[in-house]
Amino acid sequence: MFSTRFLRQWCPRMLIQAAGMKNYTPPLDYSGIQLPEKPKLPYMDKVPTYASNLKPPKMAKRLTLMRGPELIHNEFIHKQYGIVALCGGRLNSGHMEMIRMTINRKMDANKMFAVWRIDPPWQPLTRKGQGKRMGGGKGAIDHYVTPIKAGRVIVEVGGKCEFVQVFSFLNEVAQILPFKAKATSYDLMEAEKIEKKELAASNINPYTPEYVIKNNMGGCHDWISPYDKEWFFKYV
Amino acid sequence: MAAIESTTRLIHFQSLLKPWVPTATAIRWRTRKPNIQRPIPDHYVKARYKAALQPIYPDPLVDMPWFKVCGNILTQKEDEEVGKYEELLAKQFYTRFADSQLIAILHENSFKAHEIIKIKQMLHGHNMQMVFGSRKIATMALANTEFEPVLRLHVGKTAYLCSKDLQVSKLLKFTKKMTSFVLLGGVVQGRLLTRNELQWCSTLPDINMLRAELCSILASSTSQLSQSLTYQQQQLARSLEQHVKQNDEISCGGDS
Repeated sequence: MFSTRFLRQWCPRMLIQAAGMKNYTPPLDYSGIQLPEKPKLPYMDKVPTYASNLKPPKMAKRLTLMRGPELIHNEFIHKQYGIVALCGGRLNSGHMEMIRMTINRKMDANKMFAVWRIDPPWQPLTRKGQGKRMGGGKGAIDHYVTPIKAGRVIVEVGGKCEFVQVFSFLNEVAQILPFKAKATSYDLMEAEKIEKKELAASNINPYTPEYVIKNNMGGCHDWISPYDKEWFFKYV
Repeated sequence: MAAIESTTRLIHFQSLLKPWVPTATAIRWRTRKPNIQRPIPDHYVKARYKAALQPIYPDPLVDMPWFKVCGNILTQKEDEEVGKYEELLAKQFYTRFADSQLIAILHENSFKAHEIIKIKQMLHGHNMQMVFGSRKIATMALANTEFEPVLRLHVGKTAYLCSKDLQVSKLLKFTKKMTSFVLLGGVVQGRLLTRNELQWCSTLPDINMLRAELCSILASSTSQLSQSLTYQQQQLARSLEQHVKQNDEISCGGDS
């Protein structure tokens, strides 16, 4: 009775079904991707191996290993998909087992492969016995951890697949990690970099943390930390 | 005397006990390790600095034309995706148009399959073809070509009857038989005509006849001249022939 054009103009929220031609897009080209022989994540040792004559050394807390941005291992090698840490933290063997089991179970080994981008636990954490008083030397080694900085790539997944296929289980793993993390793809990361540059360029505030700190404006060097001179209030 | 001594000693002690600023002191500063995952709230001074150093982005609607600033445009028209099959159909569409001398533009009303079979049977063997296509395909095929004005008539469902022969009367006869199609106009040898103009076109005589007439008209003056020049000789030849005939008849009659 009423034409669709009339309806679209006067009832814009109304969904009008119309039959159109289906656009069959050609399938994606995965010719450049080679799948490795062992596509699944290998087991990570809970304790690092030392020489038999060597006593496992104890180590200081070294929070600087978790502090600040990751400058080296912050990009995808296989340029596909993976999990990236947004905040610093520590991964112990339990977390690594969770990552390994979840990804190995949920991925399609015929079309995808996964790769670790972190070392097995190496930093010893000591604990004193429960209820023990202070003193009596440093505690014994309880377990080992891997320190992670913000921006570090934890795990990479690639193969003849799209991000949608991989996001479901990668996001699941990212939410369980003990620090803020997200599942992303190489394209999304590149787009983020471009967006960041554009935002920085379009900022009309002449005072940026970098400028203020470098010029000691307001005598801020009295109270800023030496790390603020490197990271300009971005990281703790 | 002893009282005076004790008071002076007291005064000395008091001078020593006066408040004085030491040259160096030890302070507790930055001894608390920062919690990286749950950092403590910033100090008031630092928070003020951070608030002042927040980035400021310009208003995107400044220096924009009025129709973008208005804000009443709720739905954005998305760019139509063009598939490979649609490109193929558009190419086919154009080739059919380019090959035909005569195209009838018809508004398409709803029809049943058996009607279209009848139409195809009717058109079979007459070098005619029904061409169907959506507005998107017709636009893809005909935009920026010699048939672009035809798109102005493509409003709603439109079909085309393409004929390779130049027989307008036959075309109109067929269109009259197609009850679910309404004639809007036509294209005759690359010229867009209205329905009335098409009907006038059908009343015109055959073009070959007109061409023959034109040739004769063009040759008429020369033929007249040649005729007038050779008239006397022709008359003489004719009268001599007649004489010969008469003599033959007389001699034949005399013999018998």
